[in-house]
Amino acid sequence: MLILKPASHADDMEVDRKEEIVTPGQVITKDLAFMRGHGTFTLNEQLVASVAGKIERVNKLVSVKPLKTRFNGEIGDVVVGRIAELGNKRWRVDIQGRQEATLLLSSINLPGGVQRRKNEADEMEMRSFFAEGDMLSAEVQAFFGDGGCSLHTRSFKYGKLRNGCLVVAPSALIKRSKSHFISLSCGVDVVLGLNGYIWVQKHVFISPEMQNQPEGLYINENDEISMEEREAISRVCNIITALVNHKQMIYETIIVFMYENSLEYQPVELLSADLQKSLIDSAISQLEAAE
Amino acid sequence: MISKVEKDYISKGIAAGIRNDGRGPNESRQLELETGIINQASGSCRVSVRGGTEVLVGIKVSVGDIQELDTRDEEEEAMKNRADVGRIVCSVECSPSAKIVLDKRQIEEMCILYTQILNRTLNGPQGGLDLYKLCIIPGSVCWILNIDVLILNYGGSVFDAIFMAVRGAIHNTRLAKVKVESTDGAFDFEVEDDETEVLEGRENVPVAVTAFQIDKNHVIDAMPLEEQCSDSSVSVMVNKHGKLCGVQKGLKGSLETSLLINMIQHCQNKGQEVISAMDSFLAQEERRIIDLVEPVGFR
Amino acid sequence: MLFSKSFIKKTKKGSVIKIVKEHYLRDDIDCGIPSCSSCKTESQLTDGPYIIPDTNMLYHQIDLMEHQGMQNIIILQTVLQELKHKSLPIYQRIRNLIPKKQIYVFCNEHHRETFVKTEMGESPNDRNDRAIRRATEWYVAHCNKNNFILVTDDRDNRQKAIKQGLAAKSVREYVETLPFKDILDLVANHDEVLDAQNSFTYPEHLSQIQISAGLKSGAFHQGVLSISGHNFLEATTIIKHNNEEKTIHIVGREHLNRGIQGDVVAIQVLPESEWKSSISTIVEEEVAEDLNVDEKEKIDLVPTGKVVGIIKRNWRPYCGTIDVSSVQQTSTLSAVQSVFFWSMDKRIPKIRIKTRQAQDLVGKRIIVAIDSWEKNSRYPAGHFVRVLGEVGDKQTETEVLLLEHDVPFAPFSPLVLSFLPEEGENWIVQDKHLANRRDFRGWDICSIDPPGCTDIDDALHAKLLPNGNYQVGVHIADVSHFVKPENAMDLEAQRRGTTVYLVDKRIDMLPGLLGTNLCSLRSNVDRLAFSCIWEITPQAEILSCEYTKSVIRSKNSFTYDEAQARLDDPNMNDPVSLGIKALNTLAKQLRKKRMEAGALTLASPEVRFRMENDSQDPVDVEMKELKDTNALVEEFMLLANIYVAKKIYDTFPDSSLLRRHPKPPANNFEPLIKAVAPLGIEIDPSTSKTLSDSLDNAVLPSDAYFNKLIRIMTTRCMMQAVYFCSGTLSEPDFWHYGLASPIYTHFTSPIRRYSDLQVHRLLAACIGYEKDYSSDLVDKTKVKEMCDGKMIINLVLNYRHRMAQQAARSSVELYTHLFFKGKTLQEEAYVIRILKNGFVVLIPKYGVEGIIYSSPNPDEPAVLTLNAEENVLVNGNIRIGLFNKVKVQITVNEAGEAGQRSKLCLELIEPSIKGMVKPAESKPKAKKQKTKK
Repeated sequence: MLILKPASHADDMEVDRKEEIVTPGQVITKDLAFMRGHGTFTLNEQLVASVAGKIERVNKLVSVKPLKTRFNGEIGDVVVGRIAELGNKRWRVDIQGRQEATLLLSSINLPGGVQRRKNEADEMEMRSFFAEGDMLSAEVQAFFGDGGCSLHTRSFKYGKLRNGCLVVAPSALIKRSKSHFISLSCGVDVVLGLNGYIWVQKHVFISPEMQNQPEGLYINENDEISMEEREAISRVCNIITALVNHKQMIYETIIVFMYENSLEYQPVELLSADLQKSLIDSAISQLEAAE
Repeated sequence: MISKVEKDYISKGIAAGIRNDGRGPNESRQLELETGIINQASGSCRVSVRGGTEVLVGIKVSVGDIQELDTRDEEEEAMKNRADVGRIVCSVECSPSAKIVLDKRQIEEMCILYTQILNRTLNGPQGGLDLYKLCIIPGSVCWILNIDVLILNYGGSVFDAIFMAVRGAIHNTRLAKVKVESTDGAFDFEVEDDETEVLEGRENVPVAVTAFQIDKNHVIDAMPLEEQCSDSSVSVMVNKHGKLCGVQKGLKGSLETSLLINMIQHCQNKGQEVISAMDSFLAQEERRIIDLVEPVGFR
Repeated sequence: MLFSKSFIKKTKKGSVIKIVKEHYLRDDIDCGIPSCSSCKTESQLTDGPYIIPDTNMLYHQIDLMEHQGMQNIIILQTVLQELKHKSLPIYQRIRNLIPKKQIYVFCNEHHRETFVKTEMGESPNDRNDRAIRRATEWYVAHCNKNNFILVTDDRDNRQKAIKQGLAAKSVREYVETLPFKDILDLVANHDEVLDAQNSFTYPEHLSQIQISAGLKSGAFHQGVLSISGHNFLEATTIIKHNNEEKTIHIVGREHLNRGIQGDVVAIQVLPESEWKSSISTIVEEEVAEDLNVDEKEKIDLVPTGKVVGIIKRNWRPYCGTIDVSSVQQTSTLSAVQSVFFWSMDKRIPKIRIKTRQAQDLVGKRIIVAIDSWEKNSRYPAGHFVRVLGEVGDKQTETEVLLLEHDVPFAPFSPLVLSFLPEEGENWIVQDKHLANRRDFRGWDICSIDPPGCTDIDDALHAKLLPNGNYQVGVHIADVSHFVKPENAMDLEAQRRGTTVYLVDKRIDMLPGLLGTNLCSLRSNVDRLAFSCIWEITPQAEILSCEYTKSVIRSKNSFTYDEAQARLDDPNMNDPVSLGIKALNTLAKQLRKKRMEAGALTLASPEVRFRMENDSQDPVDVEMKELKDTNALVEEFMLLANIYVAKKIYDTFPDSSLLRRHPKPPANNFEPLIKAVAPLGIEIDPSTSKTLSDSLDNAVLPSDAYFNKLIRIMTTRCMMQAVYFCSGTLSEPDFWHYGLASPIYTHFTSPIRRYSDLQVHRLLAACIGYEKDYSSDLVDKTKVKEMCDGKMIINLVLNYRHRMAQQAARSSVELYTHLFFKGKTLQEEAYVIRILKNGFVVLIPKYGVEGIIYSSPNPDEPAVLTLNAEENVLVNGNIRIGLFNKVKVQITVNEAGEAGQRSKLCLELIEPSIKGMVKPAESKPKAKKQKTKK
């Protein structure tokens, strides 16, 4: 939860407030010693915020992390995206950012071996790999000059997503952590895309042999999913929606806590506003107790 | 935009009776309804569905000449020839800040379609409102209800929300009392300062329930992804007494008759439920307004 | 804190809109009580009980409020706002009172603790009453003292207040506690005691909605009620019917239905079967029954109607006297009596007022205001305002005259005088004034004016040019140099509109320093002027015209007689005299041309009084005569006015201030045409030319005065000439009928008329003299407002002009009566109008009119009877018809004696008819006591 403190005049040299929220145009500091990072600019020899958000200070670097913004990726970020269109030896992927991301044909794993030269047949068959509308998980490889990112799926972790459904969250609520591929005990996997797209799917056990089975990469069909699995998936989806509605950061631990607390209810009941609030409150108290 | 696997997931789930968020095919999402939030309008209502859809309806009343009607609809032509009814003019608009995945032209077509359905349904005895009571001076002056719908956010099931908000706004609308004096055949009228009169017949205004057909099943209160899985939809306008006031088929696919009848039946039943829930809630709202408690308004 | 108030309103077009207003509340509004420690605002209140009036009290009791005994008043914002909506003039009066008295205006609507929100279904009146009670309650709690009194005539409100523990009194109850003797008289009547004869009721007035519905459908028409001067039970009103203006007659008490002179009423035209005849009756005072129309007489029917509702009342305070016959002699001096009041204005009915000073007021001129006229009261109810003075006293009578004609006569305020030039009397023309002016100081300019004239507006000159043509110049005082637009002096002049000329006094439009000194074109001193210079051939053809600002030095300021002497003397050949002779020749030719074009020469029975030096009493009366020099000046003034009109219209087609004379409707002349037909004379009013020719031919060899009489009668058929804004009418409507000119304006007398000043400004802008002129000059709406105003008929040129004329006439009438006081004279007279119960005569020597009744003694039967077909009054063989010459005896009936207005009393001497002359002993003194009605 965000705590708003009344802003006082930033006359001092130090910028040492832990949880300061600033608004665009608000003066952060008058000290010229600081370097300006993202979300700030200089005006009349003063450092002024250009977005509404939290001040972050790393040594001499001051930046403002905006409260609500479109996805700004870093290299190495895990994202979940939807193919928007096919281009010239590439796909354009919608990742809820300022621009659509690019997935080059050369950045995907092709069936028939890890390293294989692309030939023209591949070009014609692009749709057999990813068609419009397909969901996939990928990693940000690089940035183009205009700010758009280039993705790759060159690991078996990444690739086409199936056996589940999508939940949309604001990208700011996804907490950065070590692993974005979560496996819950109930047989549900969650892919937390840092761009805000979250894929909840039935847990699929990938045996090492399968890793070498290139044909399995682009299957366009779901496996059999039982009723209980569906229920579990819908439960997780609703939990994540609850977190989004209450502007709570989304990460593994809290999902787990909430899942456990929610077991006594039906997935449908989890849609009610009151229940969501109480679950979140109890999860938070659990977290604080755990610290 | 939807992927094949998502479609498959959804349709198999519905066949099994469970949707993405755990609801049954007949269950609708929780929603919030508030009336009387716009001071300048004679009646207003906001409906927001948990899941994103938010609709705002404002009703402004004005007086106008009975003869002046510019419509292309034949049914309205018939109404126009009646010299002793008021009329209702609807318009549906989509706010530019709404999160919609459709392009501009599609949005415009959607708005025009909804406008026409609203106009058709409300301007007539099936609309529930007593239009004769809206006449002030027969043959010359009548009340005109201008119903303006603004779609603030899109999260599926927009049409149902629109109709619900319209019904709520109509319930909330108050007219000023009119005194008509006649001298030697010429009439003139005066209005009171305050709006105190309710619209006659407001409890008979229908609600809409839309069912989307997915394979052999159908769902009510569909989410955007579910709508994209579907080929055809049926919107049913049903009123308090269970009577059918209007039916609209949407999307581009074709329906089997048996499925159609099924869907209509379900929608009718669902509609009754919705109306009874709404009515008790609207009564609460009225009490709140009389008690001068401030509404929450917009968040 | 913010509230939003919303309510529904119907716009003029007929559509209904919802208005939402934001309303804020504050904590920091002070109470204004001096002893209050927490509130710091200084107010004019002192210690002691305070009263909080409600709206109706301020509205109905305005005269009471102006009394000095009413102090320590807290006026609530609610009350002030309601008053503003109810009546703007009364609101203005209260606003003007506030700085002068111990009044504090408390903004209770914005104070958080006293703001009252309208409950569901509560009427605005109830809500306002509640707000007033709440504010009173707050005051009591805030100051911890219960000396706040809520004063209202609304019993309901009082009861509710008393229940809340507040002190509440009715107006009368409160005023009775005040230590002033006469203050109770000022309390207006509301809960009125009904007339003794309760059976009388007027028809109910229709509601505003019914009236507006009727107006829309054409069933009713809107018009201003114009009561006949002879009979206050007859009225006419002009309505617009099918785009034509028609005159509708309204006859009888019931049809008049409580309409009073000047009210805007809704008329319903009666079916033709009920139309009355055009011959009317004289009714001067109270008559026992209404005179019934003889059903058999269906001659000369005119459209008749009745009043069905009042759209707007135009009441004002009226001057007049108490009807002595209604005063009861009581021994108790302070008993309240209900007495009747006669207004000076004959068109106003008797007003009933309550007063304690009835006996003191007899024989004095007083002012009374009307409060209401309920449908079951025969007469309107009013209240006493103040005393002016003794009846017959010249000062009092003059003041009465000025008040009745709404002439502003207060001395100029210091603010206005501050805009006069600093040098005052020592102001002279300096070199700096010469910029953009031509120097005519060497020219032979002279002015010709009536004797004793001090405000000289105009001067003339004529010079023979080398090419044989004449250069003629008309120079007008340059008032616009001294009076700049929109300053206090200009606004005051605009308000006055014109200088008012009474017999013994002159109420100036501009301060005397300007009017009689700095602007006046006196001789032998440099003066600023605005000149029109023409080049004219000896045959009076105008070749060119130019306009310029100038400096002149008039050589002589002649009277008409002196100038005439110069004209007639062949030995006077100095430049000025030659100039006058030349002007005369040209003027004669110009006049001839005008007559050929159809200009009218009308006549008025104007006379002039000669005063005794000290006593200011008129000694003798003379008829005004027109000499050549009069005509000379007139011709050139007309020429200047016409040319200037053309010039300003050319440059400012939208916003020129012009003057027009509409053509009189044909039916105005019908009575006259019919009356002279038997004498063998034809009057053709179709164009002004034909009319002019008819008048020239209307001569009776036996009677020299006859032609003048006809001209006087024709003058009465004319319409009024009016000022108008050129942008509001199309060119054909600019026509001036009387002068037969397509366009006309007033330019030549800026000292005494505001319109001329405005035209000066326009002309200065035309010639480029004034580089930046006020945008108001070209604002069409502003000019239109100046002419005719908005709904409030004040501050307007046409109105002021009319009122000034009427005031002048009334002043003449006053002096006439003073002249005849105590004398009995016999003079010749002409019959000018035949009525049912008498006839009206005009006495040429004195220029007065009077009425002779068919039955001079009301107790005896009529001596003369009316023969309606031939329009004559007969007694045996003697017939009295229009234009007959008779001889009458003139005496004056004093006002105040018999409780009636002062009037001339005429008796018919020749032709001698028995019963028409009263025996010498019985002078018409106190008439019989009439029963109170």
